[in-house]
Amino acid sequence: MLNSISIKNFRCFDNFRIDGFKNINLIGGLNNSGKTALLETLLLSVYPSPKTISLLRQFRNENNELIEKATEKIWNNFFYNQEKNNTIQIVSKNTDQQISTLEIHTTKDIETFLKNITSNTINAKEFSNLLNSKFSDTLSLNLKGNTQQQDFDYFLLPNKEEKNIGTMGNYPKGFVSPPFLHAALRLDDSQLSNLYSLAKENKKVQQLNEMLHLLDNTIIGSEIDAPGGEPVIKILLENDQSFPLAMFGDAIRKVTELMLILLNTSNGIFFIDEIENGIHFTKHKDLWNKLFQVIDKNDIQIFATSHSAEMIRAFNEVAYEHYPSQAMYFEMSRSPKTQQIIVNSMDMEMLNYQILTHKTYRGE
Amino acid sequence: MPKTLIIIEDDSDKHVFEAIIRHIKLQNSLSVIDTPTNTDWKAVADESNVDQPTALIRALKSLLNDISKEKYDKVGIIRDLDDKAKQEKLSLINNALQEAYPNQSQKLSDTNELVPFTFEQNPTGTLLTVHFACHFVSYDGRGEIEDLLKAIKTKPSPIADCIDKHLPECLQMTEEELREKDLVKLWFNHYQRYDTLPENQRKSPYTTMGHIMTQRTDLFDFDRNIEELNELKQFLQKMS
Repeated sequence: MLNSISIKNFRCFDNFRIDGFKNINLIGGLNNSGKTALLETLLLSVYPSPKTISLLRQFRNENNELIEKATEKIWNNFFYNQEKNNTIQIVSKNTDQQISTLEIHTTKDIETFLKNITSNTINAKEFSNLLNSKFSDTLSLNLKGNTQQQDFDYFLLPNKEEKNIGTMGNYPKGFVSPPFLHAALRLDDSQLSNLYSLAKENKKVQQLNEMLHLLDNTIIGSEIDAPGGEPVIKILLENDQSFPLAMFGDAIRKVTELMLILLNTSNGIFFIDEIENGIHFTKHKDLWNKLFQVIDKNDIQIFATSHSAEMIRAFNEVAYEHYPSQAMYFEMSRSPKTQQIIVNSMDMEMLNYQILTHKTYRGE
Repeated sequence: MPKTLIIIEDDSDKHVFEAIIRHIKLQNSLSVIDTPTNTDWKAVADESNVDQPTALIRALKSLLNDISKEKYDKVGIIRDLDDKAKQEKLSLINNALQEAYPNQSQKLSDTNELVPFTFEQNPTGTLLTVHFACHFVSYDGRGEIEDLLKAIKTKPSPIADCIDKHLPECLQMTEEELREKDLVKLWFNHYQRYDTLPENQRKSPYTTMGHIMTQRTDLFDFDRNIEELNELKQFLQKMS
């Protein structure tokens, strides 16, 4: 389980440190106070790979035109104040005191990397792409460090397609991308079906069905169907009808994805951005109850962000009563004088006090 | 801009203190001052347990969040002296401060004195200085805000005085008991309601503390030369 992280020169963090993580960590705060950036940093720290970097660009909807028109600027947004000549440093520590390090910098020195190529760091397709690339004057991103006692050294070329070297992500079994629930981007049918099949194999679908029933009591189950050859998830209703998941609203689709990621993330870390999006406030407590139940059984750590007072209050109500030692709340804001990002860590008793006494807890 | 936080015992007390602040500012600037905007008030009930004033400790711990956000540069704590000695009350405040901020070694050695406490902002490491001070409300050895208000009343108070005079005797006959602090609160209520309001106005909103301390301040003489009032005014002036 992650216990702390320190960050230098990444996104909006010039020099930032946060510690005291628990099993479920909820991050609240004002807009532009670094909540999502913190989630991204944690993700990158756990899965330091070129694929994760590409995914972060996709999350931020970064324009691929840059790759063709302004290659020099492609990595700018990863660096604090867009100073791409600095080095990003991310160091995380887990509760067993194991340290993971990650250093990221831009470079044009691809020769060093080429000298160290082995069949372990690059596959045939990637090598072929590399030979076809014009990288003599290309600004690459180098990711170097150590995680889970393994050294890594990746180069990421500014290619539009997945032509990057060392794209392996080491994501959990069944995942083609890391366990990260984006605020708006949803997994496609194929990815969801894979996760569903895996959950079914491990006899965990019942927990998904229970959660969907809590959201809508006319839902009695779910199944995989492949009417046109491509497998899709179908939701079963109490009137014996069933509909593809895509026919349902935001909440059902989002919670299905959330539960499928969660149920397949044993011994891992799950990231959820803007957890409240699309979910009616009367269901917030049900969701937290389910999350706490599942992480308890499967040794999962969760990092989630939220803007919503209702979602934060529901988190506190559930955790304060049943799981006080497993939850922590982090309030992020900016110093009025220096605009640097600051953070207040609150255990469930303190958060409860802030809520009951109408004190601030969302960065106000 | 950093503000002042004043921790008080009861929400209604703030109206009295705000009236005094307005009065001081009016004297100083000769212009009409609205409700002071630079001061936040937080009501935390008083506690008798000197060693473990739980509510105050929790309020002070919670304050760390606001301090971290650079919201306050002064924090005042006003308590009624009740029937306690000043040193006993002071140790209650210091115990609460020590419990809430174990890394701080400073103590409040006296009332009405601003003492700097330094806190480290997380994770920037910026040192933030917040001045703490406390004040105990009392008049002539009795420790309620109403004791002080009674001492500076400006209007005749025959009804309040009559009830105040005969109530203890009556209570004794019925074997009921009221503390001195309850009796003075009753006096205050009778004074502002029955001695100074026409019959058709003896109801809310005319009788709320907020209304009294903004619309009916002529019931009290905030300029009266009383040591305890002067000390309270000095405290509020230091905090603003």
